[in-house]
Amino acid sequence: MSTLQSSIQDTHAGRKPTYAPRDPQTRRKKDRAFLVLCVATACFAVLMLATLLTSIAADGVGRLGWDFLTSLNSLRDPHEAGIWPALVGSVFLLVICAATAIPIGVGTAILLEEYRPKHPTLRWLHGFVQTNISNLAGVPSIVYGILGFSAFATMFGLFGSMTDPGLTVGQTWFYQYRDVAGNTYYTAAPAEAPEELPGASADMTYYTSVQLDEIADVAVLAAADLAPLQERIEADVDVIAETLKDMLYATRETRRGPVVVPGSVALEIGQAAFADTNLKADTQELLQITVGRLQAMDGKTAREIRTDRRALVDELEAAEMKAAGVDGQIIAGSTPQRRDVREPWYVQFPFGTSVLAGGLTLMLVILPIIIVASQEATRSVPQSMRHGSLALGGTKWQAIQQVVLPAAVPGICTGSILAMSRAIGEAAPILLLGAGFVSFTPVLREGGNLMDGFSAMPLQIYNWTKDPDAAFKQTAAAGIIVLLTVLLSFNAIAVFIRQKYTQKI
Amino acid sequence: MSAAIQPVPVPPAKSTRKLGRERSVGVRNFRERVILGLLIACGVFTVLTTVSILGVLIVNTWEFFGHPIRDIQNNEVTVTLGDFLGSLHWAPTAEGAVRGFGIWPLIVGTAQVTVVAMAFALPLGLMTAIWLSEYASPKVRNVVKPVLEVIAGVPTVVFGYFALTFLTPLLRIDFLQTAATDPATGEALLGPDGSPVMVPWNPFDFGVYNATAAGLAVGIMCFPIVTSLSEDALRAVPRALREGAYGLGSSRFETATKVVVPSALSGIIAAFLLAIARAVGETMIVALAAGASPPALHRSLGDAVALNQDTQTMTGYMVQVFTGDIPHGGVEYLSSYTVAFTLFIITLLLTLVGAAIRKRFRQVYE
Repeated sequence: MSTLQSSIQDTHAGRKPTYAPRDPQTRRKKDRAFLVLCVATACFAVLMLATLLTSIAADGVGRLGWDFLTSLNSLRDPHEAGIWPALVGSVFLLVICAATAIPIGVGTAILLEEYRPKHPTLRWLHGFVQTNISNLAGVPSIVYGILGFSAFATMFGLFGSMTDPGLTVGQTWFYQYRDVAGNTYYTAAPAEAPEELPGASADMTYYTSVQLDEIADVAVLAAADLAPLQERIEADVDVIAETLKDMLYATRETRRGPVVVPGSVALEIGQAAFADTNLKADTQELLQITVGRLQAMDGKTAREIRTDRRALVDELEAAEMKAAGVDGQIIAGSTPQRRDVREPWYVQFPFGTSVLAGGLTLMLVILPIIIVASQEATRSVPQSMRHGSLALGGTKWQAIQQVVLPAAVPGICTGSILAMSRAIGEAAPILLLGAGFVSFTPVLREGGNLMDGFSAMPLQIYNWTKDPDAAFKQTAAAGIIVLLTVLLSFNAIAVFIRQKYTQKI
Repeated sequence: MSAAIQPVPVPPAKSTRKLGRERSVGVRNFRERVILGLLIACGVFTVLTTVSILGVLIVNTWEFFGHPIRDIQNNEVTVTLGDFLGSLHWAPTAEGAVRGFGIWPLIVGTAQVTVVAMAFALPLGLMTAIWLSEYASPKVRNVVKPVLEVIAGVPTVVFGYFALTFLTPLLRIDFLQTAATDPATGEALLGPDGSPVMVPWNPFDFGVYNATAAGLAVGIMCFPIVTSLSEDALRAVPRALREGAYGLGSSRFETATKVVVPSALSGIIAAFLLAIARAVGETMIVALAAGASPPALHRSLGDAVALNQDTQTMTGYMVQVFTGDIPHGGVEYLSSYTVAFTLFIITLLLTLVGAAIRKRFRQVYE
């Protein structure tokens, strides 16, 4: 007893007590002050976030509307620019991302949670995979962008370059020939571009479309055979052109002054010009073209009119050529254009700056999040349920498939949806891929496929915000409102699932 | 003993319906193996991700250090590790004598943004966490926590927009006024009505792009993370510890600061480190609001604290290289991989230190 007391006295010998008794009033005041400080900081933080939201809403609400959601982007006019391509891009990114990340993520989670090995080496490997995943979760998303660029967009340079892919699936090549009237005809072509494109010749089979289902009635003519026809048409049109010129110049007040061609005068001139012609084309149609052109010349000076007249003559000649039945007459030796048709399932290797590469890159970003969430969901399934299944003679996988997974689905869903909302807002990785402005609807457009270039909502917002034209800031704010609405609904769905299903277990 | 108990013959159970198909054990085992193989493939994929990240970064960093460049005398040289880690001059896209390959300006630029962000987020986050866990009623907490989680999910490009269109103009407000003087005579200029002409000005002289606005936005972004994780750590401290403190006559302030916070310190520090790692790796905010020139440390070391001027972080440089028209394969292009590798190592260290602290100093209360 005495030794204990003395030892206590020894320890405290020569020391002041750490907590000096203080005035209770001071302590109470301190307590109050601290509470006030805490509440003040919390209020300040909330105020800051409220400012953020209101400033964005105030900027952007004016640009919101059906047009904004459904129109294509515009580089020039901030009031025309819409978010539609970015919205569609985001949806496809999300679909690809979910379709790849969820199976791999849930698979890894099951491996880590349900198959715990006993062998020391395997145990070490198991722990290594687990540590690796927590480290992956800490890697900045921009680094995943670099990986995505190397692994998906360029595939480490293994299959040629992004613009000249080494391997394609679902792509067919054609030679496209034009006849004298401007119609197009097709012949099948090899996938490899030849050194010299084959000139048109009579022994080839021409088709009306890339389906190669209808053989076209094509005559391959020497250029000399077409010459008489062209000469005749030129002569006829020349007569009209002369009449037009004279009548047009008669409307001028001074020698060099502008012509005066209001609607009625134009019609008069046109009718006079076509009064006695032996053209084969529909005169009414030619008249319409002419009157339109003439009206456009109203008030122009002599020099400007010369180019306009030339264009009119060309147009008339083209119309007359068509009427003369030059359809299906290809001049021998004319070189075709190489054209490819891509099926909806077209895939190229490497993927390039495509929707597919973007989705896979985002998959890498959210994979650790999905794994961790799925692990937590599986871990929360009571051990007794697994035992029950095993005791009934089920195998390990049967226990997982029919007992553990169904019980863990709400947790996995919640985690996955939250991970998806992270993916939909992620811009840095796909920015590094080179995605950005597109003026078409990716994938959904005619002839679209997963190899289309793309934009995504956060990327579009970034580009609009960065634009030197300050009016694009409002467009960006409107884009942010759309993005936040999508995110909030994702969160709401996640919360709903969590509330509805978690109590059932 | 002759009346031995005769075993009553049990009639074989006649099942009226078949419960499941009988499968051969071989097929079943084969299926189990295939599925395990698939699951292992998933696990291998995650490891492969790490290996590929390291591979891509290391190979390109290696190429960067081996890539021939022309020095001032037009001799063919390569960038050395000494240049990279020892020089204070970063200008890989420039030509000739003004070219520099020292990483420090980018690291300092990253540090500027991170320090501003953490000066905002850490104290505010911790205070809010203490309030939530020690003072607020469960009702308030049940509202505030989910709201914080939703805000933590707001895309960073939104904070970038906020920094550029709200914070920067706010910082650039000319809130002071001085009487204008005639530059020639030094006398005060007078307006038409005889009163002195006042010139508005701002003593901090913030640029259109500056480290402070970007840092504040990053801080606002990190605030929910710090709050949420610190609050989790504080709440994990058992009730008994608090009650012990109250029993000894402590006030709530004393309990919070002298008992609860020290007990939860490992969790709080881990939360802080996670927030720092997020701030260091943040891209979109700095790409929008921080500008595109790292502090010119080779000219003046004072640039390191010039928070009112534009700066560039490691992530900002990567965006500049990948979105600009720099030809692939050149030394400027490869430099971005080296910067990415540096960034990767810094964030990896932060993650590892955080995990180690949590493991080493975790108090287990049972």
